[in-house]
Amino acid sequence: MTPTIAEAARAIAARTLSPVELTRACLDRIEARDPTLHAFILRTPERALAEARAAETRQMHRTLRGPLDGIPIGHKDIYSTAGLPTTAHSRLLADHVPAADAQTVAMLSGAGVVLMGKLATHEFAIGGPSFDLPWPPARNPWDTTRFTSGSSSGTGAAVADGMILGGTGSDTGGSIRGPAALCGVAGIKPTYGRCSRRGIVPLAFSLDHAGPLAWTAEDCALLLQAMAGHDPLDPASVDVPLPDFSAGIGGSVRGLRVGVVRHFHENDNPATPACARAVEDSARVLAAGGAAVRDVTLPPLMDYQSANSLILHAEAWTLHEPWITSRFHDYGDIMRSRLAMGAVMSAADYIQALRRRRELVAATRAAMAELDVLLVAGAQSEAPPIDAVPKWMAMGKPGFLAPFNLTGLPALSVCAGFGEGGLPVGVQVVGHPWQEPTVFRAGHVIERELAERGRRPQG
Amino acid sequence: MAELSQSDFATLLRRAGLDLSAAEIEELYTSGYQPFAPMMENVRAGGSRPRESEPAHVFSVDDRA
Repeated sequence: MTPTIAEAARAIAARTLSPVELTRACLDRIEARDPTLHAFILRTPERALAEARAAETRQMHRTLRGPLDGIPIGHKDIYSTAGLPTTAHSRLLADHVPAADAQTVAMLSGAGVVLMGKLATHEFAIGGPSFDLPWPPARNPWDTTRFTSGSSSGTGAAVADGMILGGTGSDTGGSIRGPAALCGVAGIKPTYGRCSRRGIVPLAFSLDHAGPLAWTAEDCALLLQAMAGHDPLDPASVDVPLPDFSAGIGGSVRGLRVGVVRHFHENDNPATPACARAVEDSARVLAAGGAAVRDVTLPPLMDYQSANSLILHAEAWTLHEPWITSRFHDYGDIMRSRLAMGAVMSAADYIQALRRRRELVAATRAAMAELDVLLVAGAQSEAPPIDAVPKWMAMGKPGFLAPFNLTGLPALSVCAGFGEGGLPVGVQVVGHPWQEPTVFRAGHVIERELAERGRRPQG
Repeated sequence: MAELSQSDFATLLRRAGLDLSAAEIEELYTSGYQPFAPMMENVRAGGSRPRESEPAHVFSVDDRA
């Protein structure tokens, strides 16, 4: 079974695991499984083996760069990679080869990761699952007839299946946490401003977040350690101290003040019994660990969804205007249809959404004043059939993820068990700005008690 | 805020630079705009927002260009 990053790092440091052997095992898994899962847009086996050999040399010389040295990962194909195509899963960028790495790609490379390839996404991180693009959509390894969620669909699928140990994602309305929940892995959308967005194909400037997905919360903490940091060339990047994101892993939750946002999944958008039970089970294990758990009420979910959706559509339309007005039919049907809503918004619609955003940030922070974290459902249901996902799924029914793009708060999705059909269910742990270590601490406890990390997709 | 008719909607799409077929416009209006419009209403908070209510800013007045 594919090890976690933490396990592999310990074994590499102890010289009981060869980075080359680990990389070969992942390449074999990709060879066997990717023709069905379609998690990769581009595989880079030669580069991976070269990077693994370099890591192995450092291992032999005891000059490892840290816990990510020699760890096989993949990048969502909106992360620029110098000399490698970066397509955004779109016909429009099919031949696009960036000259420079995204800042986060460079930071991960500096930490010694082994790049296995570029991963499927919804087109430009919004349009999917689509069957009319140059590459098929990724499929859920727990059941290949099922949806991965998106937009970091390839990362979710590849991590869950053990083809890679971790990978990058982006999150504008839930695109890291959605695949994490439906694929049964961990994924964190850090605080807005924590990770540089420079070199990542944007979707909506004020909502886009970069972050990692991995098999466990601990692995996400290790990846985030390499991805986070101030970037003066990203206008949204914030110069704040970098904590040890793993510091809370394995720590007690005694005394942690947890607010359960029950109305989201009970009233605002009722969740399936398995998804609702994941929240209750998570609250129970946190309480059993000594946390002070109580209910908390936030503004209605639809309020968050409305503001997030309007801001997203206005900013995305602005970004794509030159291309969508000249190459409308080169986009996939889902992408171009969703994007078109931005064409009918007025400036007042956008500014009203920004005013609502400020109000919702204030209301959320007020509700959290006496709390350390929120516990929120991770998804409305287990993974649906991929061919039954509605084209307009983001309209009408509000999701549980967008509130934390709008507010910029750190939000971690972890697996919290499995539904009756054997499909994973997730929950979110949401913290105060810059408090990712607390979020990881609580998420790790939930995962340890509920996630069955010894269980992997068959195949 | 007055809701757009399909004809108004088509005009806005044209003004934005999208030259689409009648069938495409109808599908976008019926399946996309109809559920989208209530969100535009929602963010107006029923018209009760104080005049001085500020938007959320990401602009920072320093010299990071």
